Amino acid sequence: MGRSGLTRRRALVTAATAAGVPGVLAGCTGAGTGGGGAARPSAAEAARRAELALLRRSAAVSGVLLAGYDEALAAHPAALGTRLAPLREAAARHVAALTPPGERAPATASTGARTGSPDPGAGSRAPGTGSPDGRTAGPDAGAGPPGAGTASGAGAAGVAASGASAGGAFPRGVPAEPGAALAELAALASRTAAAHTAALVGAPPESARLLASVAAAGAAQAYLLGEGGRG
Amino acid sequence: MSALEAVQAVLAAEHAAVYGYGVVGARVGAARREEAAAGLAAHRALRDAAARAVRDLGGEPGVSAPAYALPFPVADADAAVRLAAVLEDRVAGAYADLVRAASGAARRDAAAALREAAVRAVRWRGGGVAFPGLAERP
Repeated sequence: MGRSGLTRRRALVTAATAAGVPGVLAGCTGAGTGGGGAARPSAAEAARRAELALLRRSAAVSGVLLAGYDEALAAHPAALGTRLAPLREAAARHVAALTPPGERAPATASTGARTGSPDPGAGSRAPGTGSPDGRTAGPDAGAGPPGAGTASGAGAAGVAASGASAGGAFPRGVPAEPGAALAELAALASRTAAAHTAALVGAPPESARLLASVAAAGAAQAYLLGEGGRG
Repeated sequence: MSALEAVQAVLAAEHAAVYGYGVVGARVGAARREEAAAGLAAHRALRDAAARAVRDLGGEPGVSAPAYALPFPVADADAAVRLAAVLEDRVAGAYADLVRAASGAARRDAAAALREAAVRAVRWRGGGVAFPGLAERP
């Protein structure tokens, strides 16, 4: 009796297990019919790939914030240089830490925006930015006199930023007023922290810990860029 | 580190923070006394939440030590501000480890506590660190 009960329980467990993992069964079937059984990734391999993809996405998220710092620094080097330099360095470390080992950091506007100086290569890589001069209009926009000149300068900066920035740190260009640029960066840092916070929920343990730290750093940066940076 | 061990570590850090913020409040000076009181209240609430979390995991909450050795003498307001920042750094480390050990709502709560600790630390210090709570990434 006990023996048959055990057998039945084992059968129930087997059935429950099979019912609980339809994806794995479907995967076996698919691989079998496809004849590519050897190519089918194991569960561990699939989990590793998912983690790498999560980290890549997160690196790209932090890359947008890094690009935002670079664009703001290029537009307002004198007004914001001291304030933003340490935050930019931290953002660069976040991108590096989140980029899977052996891979390149995601391409962001940082490569383009940092070339405030003439860079033919950058210009040719960014279709739609107009002349290379349009790119350098960003820094001038803040320094120029108010009026029509500033308006056209800001417009050029907007074109340069949108052309250079795939992630869109400043979709309408870096504001000509440094305080407004800081406010937009603060909002961007907050959104970055929120994205990392959302990502960490489903992340493997070590990646979750790293994402939580980077999210916390983003929240602290938002504070420093906003109310905490005054005075 | 199991989730229970990580929560116990958070509780120990919060006990120490509550003690430390008492010292901060006594030395920090009038200008920042309110901030110290807010920090003390926050860490009392976090300590109580950590004790509940230990019980939820079937553990017996660790108790506060009668006194804690301060990392450096705290004789004036500047030292009090530095102590407050160090206290936040330490709880941040415990919450980062709890994020790793926990899942679901407990992990989200730990991440939120880590964020709040990081923000309080930059309030005190005036500047941030690149990786709050990660001692291996100074």
